[in-house]
Amino acid sequence: MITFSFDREDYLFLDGGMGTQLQAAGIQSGEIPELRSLTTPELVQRIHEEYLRAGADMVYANTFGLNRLKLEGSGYSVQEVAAASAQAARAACGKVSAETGRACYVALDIGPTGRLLKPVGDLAFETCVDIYREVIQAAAPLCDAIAIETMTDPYEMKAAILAAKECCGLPILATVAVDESGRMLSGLEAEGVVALLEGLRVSALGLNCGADPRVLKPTIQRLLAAASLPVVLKLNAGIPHQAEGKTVFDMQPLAFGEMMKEYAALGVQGLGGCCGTTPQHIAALKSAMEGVPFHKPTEKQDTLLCSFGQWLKVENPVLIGERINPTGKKAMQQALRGRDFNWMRRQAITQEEQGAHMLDVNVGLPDIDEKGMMADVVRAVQEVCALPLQIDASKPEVLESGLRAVNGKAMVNSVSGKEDMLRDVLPLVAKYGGVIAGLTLDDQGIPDTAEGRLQIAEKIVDACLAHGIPKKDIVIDPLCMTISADSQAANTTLKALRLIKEKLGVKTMLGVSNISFGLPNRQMVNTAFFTLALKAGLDFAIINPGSDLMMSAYDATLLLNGRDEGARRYIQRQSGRDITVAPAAPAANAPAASPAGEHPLRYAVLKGLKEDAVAATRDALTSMDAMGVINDILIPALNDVGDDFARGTLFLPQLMMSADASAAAFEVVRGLLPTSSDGQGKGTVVVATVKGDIHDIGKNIVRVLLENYGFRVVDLGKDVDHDQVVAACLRENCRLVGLSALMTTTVDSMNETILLLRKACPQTKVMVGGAVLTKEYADMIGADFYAKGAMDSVHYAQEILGA
Amino acid sequence: MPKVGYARPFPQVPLKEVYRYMGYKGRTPGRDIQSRVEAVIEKLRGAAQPRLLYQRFPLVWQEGNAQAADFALQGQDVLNNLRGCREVYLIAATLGSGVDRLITRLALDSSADMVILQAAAAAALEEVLDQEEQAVKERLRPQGLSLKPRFSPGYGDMPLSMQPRLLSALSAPRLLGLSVTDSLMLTPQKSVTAFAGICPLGEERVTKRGCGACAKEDCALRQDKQQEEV
Repeated sequence: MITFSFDREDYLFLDGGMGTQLQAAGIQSGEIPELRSLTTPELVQRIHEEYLRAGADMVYANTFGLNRLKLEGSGYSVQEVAAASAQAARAACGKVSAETGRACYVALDIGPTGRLLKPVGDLAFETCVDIYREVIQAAAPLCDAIAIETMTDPYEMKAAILAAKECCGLPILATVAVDESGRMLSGLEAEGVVALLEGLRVSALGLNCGADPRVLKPTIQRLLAAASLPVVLKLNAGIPHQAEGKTVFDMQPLAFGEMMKEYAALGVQGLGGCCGTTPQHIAALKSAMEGVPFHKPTEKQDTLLCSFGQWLKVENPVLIGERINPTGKKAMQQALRGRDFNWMRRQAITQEEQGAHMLDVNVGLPDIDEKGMMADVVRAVQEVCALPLQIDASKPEVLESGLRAVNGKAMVNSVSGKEDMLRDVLPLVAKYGGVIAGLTLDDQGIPDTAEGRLQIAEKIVDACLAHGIPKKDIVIDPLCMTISADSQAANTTLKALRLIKEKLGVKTMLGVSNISFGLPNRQMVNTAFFTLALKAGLDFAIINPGSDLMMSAYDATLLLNGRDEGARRYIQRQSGRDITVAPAAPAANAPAASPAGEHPLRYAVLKGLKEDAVAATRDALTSMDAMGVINDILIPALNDVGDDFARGTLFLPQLMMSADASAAAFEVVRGLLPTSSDGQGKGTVVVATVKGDIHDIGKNIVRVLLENYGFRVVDLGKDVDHDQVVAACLRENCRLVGLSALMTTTVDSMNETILLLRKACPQTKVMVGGAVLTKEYADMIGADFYAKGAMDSVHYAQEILGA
Repeated sequence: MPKVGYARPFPQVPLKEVYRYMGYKGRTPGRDIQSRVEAVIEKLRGAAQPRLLYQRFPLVWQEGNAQAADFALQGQDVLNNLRGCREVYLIAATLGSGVDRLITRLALDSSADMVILQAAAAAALEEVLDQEEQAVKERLRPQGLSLKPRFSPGYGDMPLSMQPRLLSALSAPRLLGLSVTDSLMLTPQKSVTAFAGICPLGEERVTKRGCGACAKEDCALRQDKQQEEV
């Protein structure tokens, strides 16, 4: 058997829609089409034969929707259906090949699972990989290629590709479905799709199904401009409409053929049909393509990165936000140890708002499970932020964990000239895709000269190329030493930068803060060095985007380097920021005047005025101690707000604004609280939205209120497994757990969780709440307390934890 | 021919409905809350990608039970709603996963904005559906037909277990990226599935309607007949 390859000398023709043909043959709505491979295999084989005779070189086996989720309760196994489908396709190929002398091929068709992956849905990434692995293992031996199609979620696409790569060596064709604007559902555009798929080393990529094919031209052009792999289009016969209760597509075979011919001329290598197409469409396609010259794909040189929703082409220097890194940062170390993922999320959002283009993620602490934590933090950040990420770790297994969890094509920081790192890390980059950063150091340390660093850079580049990592995906960090220890430190680094760019043609990166170690006004030195480096050809800079000086220097340097036409970007970012004007008088934002006799902090909380609350707290602390502020002002104010809410004279948003104001006040006070031996405040409460439920508004409200009242809250998030709740309870040694659920179906889940808690933590009380709950339900599932409203949970916590 | 279209523009969000979902029971909040609501709606506009899908199916009645798209409709309340209909629209709509992400983002630092966003998203989604309903009614009118009020799994005694069948009949996971979890929750969060019966023009009324059809007497958002229009 000839091994099939997508790297061909002529057009590859694929088949058309299977679903439409089965419908024409009488399949009922509600029937599982893949089962026909077992119940009416002759019909399935006949459809394949018709497509092959019409001119298709490759048919997709009848496995599009096949997975164990869809087969549940059907009485059939994935293995038998997959094998039967591949068999039918194989038999058709054998028959037509013998008839015509043409080579005919079978692709295993992998479509979406029909479920959404976490965090939007409830399907875990690894479970998804497993689901796909089951199908692929069953049928791959009978197939020539794997065709992953109609994917609208990059994460699901990644799961399918990994499953395929991990259990068979067949070439992979990956096509996505985009909407009218040319985006996948997660928002990812053509360049991002190319970054993701080429990173994952598929053999061909493209578009199928999706929006009206007639509007796809711009997207196809963008895809071709970015892709170095063969591009395939498998498009619908126009758009569907309802006619006499049936779905009908509006593009006839001739028109379809003409459209595909026009697209082929743009530089595509493979063509076929999707929904609504028939053997007639494929025949018309084949006929229209008669004599059309074929062009192989060309290698593109852009460095591309992406997340699930954004892509990044390295043209102007890229700013990597450095704050999610525990090195020298107490707050991050605390957040890691306390599993405070909200802290990381806030860092991500803040850095994004400050202008970072990418985010570094580093969880290196000796006393934690780095591997698990890396995946958790990557997922937590991805939940709220669409910036591409840099996975930063010194251990290969931690890098792998991050690379597997990232939804997109990430930067990998780092390898060096050391043999073992190159040996262990480069294969990971080749498997998961990524841009690899190499540090110019080796077992002998960091070379003193620029030439010495260039030499290590050469070694790294050679090793990368040997692993199939192209130059465009290599970034070299020539490192910078401390200027106060070596007055040539900056010159050496800048010279190394220039040499590396000139001689090796790869991208460069620097973390600019080391240069100023030990000096006063470090920011000034860092910024000056930064601008020099940008001029010397720096492509990536790891910085703190919160440094206004650095960010402004970036804006100015970009402008001065001729990269800001009409100074548009500079003006937009820097308008109104003339530092020669005297700073605004402190009273410019005067706090709202509180009524005579009313403490300004109390007033700020009652009215929900966050900034005023912060200012008033600072003021109050000059004449009161921390506990006094909390117990005598904040808590009574919250109590009054809570009472008004319960009475119906104040509404939820106002309650929340007061809670936010109080939380801000509390932040100011927090650092001054007498720390008890375990930093527990008034006591620890674990809260979670139970397994199966992803609504967490109520839980979030309770969390904020409890924190305001001085409790330490460990928030496990939503859709939380029973054993995770128990584990947290044991780990925190806490005496109160709060569970929330919105749906009747998840009340069962609450029951499960409570049963487990009773066994493992018999002293712990459980309170429950949520829109669907009632006292009756709460009693039925064995809860200790039913919190009807948000304030009830606070009162119960005060009762139980003796505060 | 009406297209089975998908993307819809972000609608003008009816503020009264937003206030109602926030628990204001017909009252209007103060200026400060109002401007927060406006700001949140702007954020929602940037994050939402409203998509909508519906298909017309024959409704097959047999001994008081009804079947559409080869599955039986369960619960008395939906059967009551669809009485007299020979056809029904199956509907699915979502604001997209960008809104889920925005909810999580806002929850981090502003519980007030999170609460407002929930309300605004619910109001926006209902408005998208209401506008589509109007458009469909316009097309049905010349045929002497109209629509019953839409009815979703979870209303009255219609069980949530109808969700997966409804979604698969419409191919909603593939066409809208709308799916359901093991525990029958729609994902993305801000999504709706519904039935809308096609009835003779003039027969749109159902004997029990709106909140009256629902068993949750103590719901904070329950609307009474005596509700003043503010």
